[in-house]
Amino acid sequence: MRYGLLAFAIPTGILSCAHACDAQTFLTEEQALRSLFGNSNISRQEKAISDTDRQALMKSAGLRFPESSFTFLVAEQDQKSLGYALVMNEIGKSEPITFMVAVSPEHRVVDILVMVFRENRGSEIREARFLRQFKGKKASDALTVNRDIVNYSGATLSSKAISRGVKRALALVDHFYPVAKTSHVLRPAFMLPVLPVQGSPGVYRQVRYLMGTLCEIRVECDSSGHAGAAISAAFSEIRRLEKVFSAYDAESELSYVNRKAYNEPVTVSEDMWALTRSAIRFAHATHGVVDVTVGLLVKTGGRSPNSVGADKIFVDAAAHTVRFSGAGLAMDFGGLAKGYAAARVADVLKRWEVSSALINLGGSSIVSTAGKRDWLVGIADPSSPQQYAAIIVAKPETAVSCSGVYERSHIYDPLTGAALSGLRSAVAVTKSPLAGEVVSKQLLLRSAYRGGSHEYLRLFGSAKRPTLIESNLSKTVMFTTDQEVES
Amino acid sequence: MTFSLRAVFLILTMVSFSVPSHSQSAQAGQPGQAQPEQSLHIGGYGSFRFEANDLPGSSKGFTFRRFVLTTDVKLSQRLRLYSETEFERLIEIEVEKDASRESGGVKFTQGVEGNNQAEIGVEQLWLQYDLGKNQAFRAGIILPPLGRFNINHDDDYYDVPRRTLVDRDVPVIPVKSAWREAGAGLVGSFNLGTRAKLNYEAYVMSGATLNFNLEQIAQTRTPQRSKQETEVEVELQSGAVDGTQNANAFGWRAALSPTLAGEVAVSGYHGKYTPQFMTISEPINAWGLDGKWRFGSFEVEGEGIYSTFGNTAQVAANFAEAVVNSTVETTRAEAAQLESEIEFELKGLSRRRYGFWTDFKYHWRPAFLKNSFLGRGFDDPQIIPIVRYDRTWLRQEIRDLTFSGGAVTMLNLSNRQQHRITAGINFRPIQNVGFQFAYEHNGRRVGDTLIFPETAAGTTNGFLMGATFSF
Repeated sequence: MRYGLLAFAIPTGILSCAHACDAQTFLTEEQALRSLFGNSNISRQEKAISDTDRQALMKSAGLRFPESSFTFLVAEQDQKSLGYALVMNEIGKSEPITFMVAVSPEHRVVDILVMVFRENRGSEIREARFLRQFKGKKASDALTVNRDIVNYSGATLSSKAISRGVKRALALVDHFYPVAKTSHVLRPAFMLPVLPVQGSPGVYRQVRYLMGTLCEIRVECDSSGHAGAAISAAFSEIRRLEKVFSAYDAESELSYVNRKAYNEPVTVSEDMWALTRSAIRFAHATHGVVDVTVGLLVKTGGRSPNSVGADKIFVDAAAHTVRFSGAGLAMDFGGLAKGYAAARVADVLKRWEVSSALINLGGSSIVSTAGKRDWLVGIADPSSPQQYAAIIVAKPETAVSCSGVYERSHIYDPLTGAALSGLRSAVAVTKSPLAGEVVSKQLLLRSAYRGGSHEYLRLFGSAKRPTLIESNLSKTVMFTTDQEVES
Repeated sequence: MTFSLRAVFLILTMVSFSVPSHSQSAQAGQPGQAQPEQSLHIGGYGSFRFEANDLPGSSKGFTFRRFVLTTDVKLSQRLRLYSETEFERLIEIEVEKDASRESGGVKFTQGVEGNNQAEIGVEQLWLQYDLGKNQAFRAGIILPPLGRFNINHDDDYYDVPRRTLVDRDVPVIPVKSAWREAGAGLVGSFNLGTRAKLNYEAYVMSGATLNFNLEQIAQTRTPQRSKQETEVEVELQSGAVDGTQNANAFGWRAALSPTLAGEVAVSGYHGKYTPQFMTISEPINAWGLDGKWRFGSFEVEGEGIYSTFGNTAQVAANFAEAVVNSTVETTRAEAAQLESEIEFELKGLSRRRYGFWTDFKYHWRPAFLKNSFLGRGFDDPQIIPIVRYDRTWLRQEIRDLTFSGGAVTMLNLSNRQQHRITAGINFRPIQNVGFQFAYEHNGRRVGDTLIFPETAAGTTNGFLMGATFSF
């Protein structure tokens, strides 16, 4: 009988004074959409659920679909589908949790954003460490607490509500937008398995041939599903940038610019604009040592040195256009494109919330993302590429850029038009892969390691002289800085 | 005046709180849009049990374990009031008072009727003030965070129909669970990187103290005089809430969750337990180690507690001295026809108590279940096979104490040890309802009797069925 009176007085008092249930709003639908799909076009597509649909959905998901209709938010950009979003309302303990499930064109979960949480307890399910485990999941996954989903201790009902809602959303997308009907699906991205890296638990890898070289991505993830989805998104980004910067693809944006820009200003994409601006800046800073107008030089095997010069590129910031001063000029971004792509891929993997990742674009640009893992990067000996000239410990958020003459000698000096001779390789360890590409190129082309007061040292702020590594047959110079460089 | 469960449900039905319908069209609020400041969530949990065991003379019957009504109010975005009101084995309390003229005078009568071992109480009642992101100040009647059971004691959380030895039946924690104290402190968490999290609770409390319960026995005897016996049962109980006790206890718990899959926690409780009518001051120091980990469908959870209670023999001696000094008046028999007797019992006082429990369970979702009569119509029915192992030690437990003239004349200390194995299954059609079936074996390992149930038998075996729910 202890506290007896209080036992009745308190709840009765609370009951008499409290009001209707409140909701904690974290995001509106508009904010959630912008967070997921940026400024892409969003169309609302209302889909009624017939009895036949309902039965098919119940059969595929094993869950109920009592709603009479759903509104799909379909994101598109440049007439390409970016994915779907559904706002789901699932009962947690007694109140519905409103959240948005974003699904990729490949029908994998891209992200989940909790918009409104109405319970007084259990809002921890908003935390990334819970929601992260859904990324990459597909409709055929169990999506069940205590199976492939770990519930948040103390918020089991809310955890189950999110799991149920995600599974229902995936089933709905599968049902109303079957994969065969989606025109822009990068199916190979999900048909290739990721492989666990032996001796490194939780690390998965995949290698693909893109940008004219072998690209490898390693990620540290909770599950192979998450790893597969993240790696696939990363390769999709590389492939997209390859379509922008490839000098060998007649359909690429670069080829189009090279064909048209001598004649008229060409409006370019954001990526082309950003890298062209950076390339012009680098060319000026390195007095033409690193110059992207070596396109014809490469194609003619060094026979057109007069066609080079970044000062012949004119850009219009207001109109976002690029124009060449005349015919006979062509851009080839080469390693700069890889550096740029590596940085963009790192951004993609960051959005996929992998614990740590290593992006290796053909040994040219190697980037480790934020995280706790240090990665070992072997620098191939130019004279014997199967052997390492050095092994670098790449700390998180480090770029290792390598330029060298290996099997395929295609590095030309833009100032002389001559193919490279002398130093066989150069390595730059920097914060930015794009800056690293510039430094390593300059080291290689100017053999700048011999002096201590060259322009690049001033430009990139090195406090130390580069290290010279000599193997039996060749020399590799290594430049290291941990300073952030504008790229 | 009659309070009953009917009254509770009546209160509930008077409050109209609507659960929004299960539809996709519920809209998120817009920023800047005025929102009501307060929110109320009413919930509760409870359980029933049927037990049959091989203990001679024990009945095979049903137990209404408890019904706990919870209210959770958000008074504003930063203020929250939470309460739990427990009705333990309580069906009805009836209080009768009457004053009437009789035999030329006035006759006052007062009586209380109710069912056996019934209890009603406030289990938790605290106000929380959010100080910042994931940091809050909490004050009121709180649960000391020693181990994990006391703070996660909801019946539907567990998958066997009886609470643990460590926390309830042979309490190793200072006061059997659910142990509550008046106090105030901080609660919160810190993110450690993107995956790990550190949760903490720390409170200053009134603290567990030796307190008494009076049991009165009226006995008619022939040819002897009728006897009125008063038994004073002295045991550790939650501290006072009327301001008469110094806040001299401190409880804390720090739980590290390296990943979402589990957590490992350490906890402690430090305080004085001798009441102010005693002239000595003896400490309780208790430490806990607990954790939970999930490996896919497999789950392990457990807790270990180690408690020390200082020099309990000195407490007994001081108690004897205090009792004699304070009960002289009481024991003076004035009614010639009535024999009065006062007995004292120091219940469960040991110099050291320690023990642990571990649950091993598997969340089984066989394909047939959803299509069977048991699981049809439920989204995620599951069967949970579970094995629990409990073990407790009582060291230098005061079994017999006699005193004369305020001095202890005989103090019998003993060591006892017991284990319990429970194997069962829990069928959960939904997460917050369970139908539990379990076999339970209690075994004496050291000592002359089992500790729970208190019997000279070396072992007891029982079958338990239970139903738990929450809403």
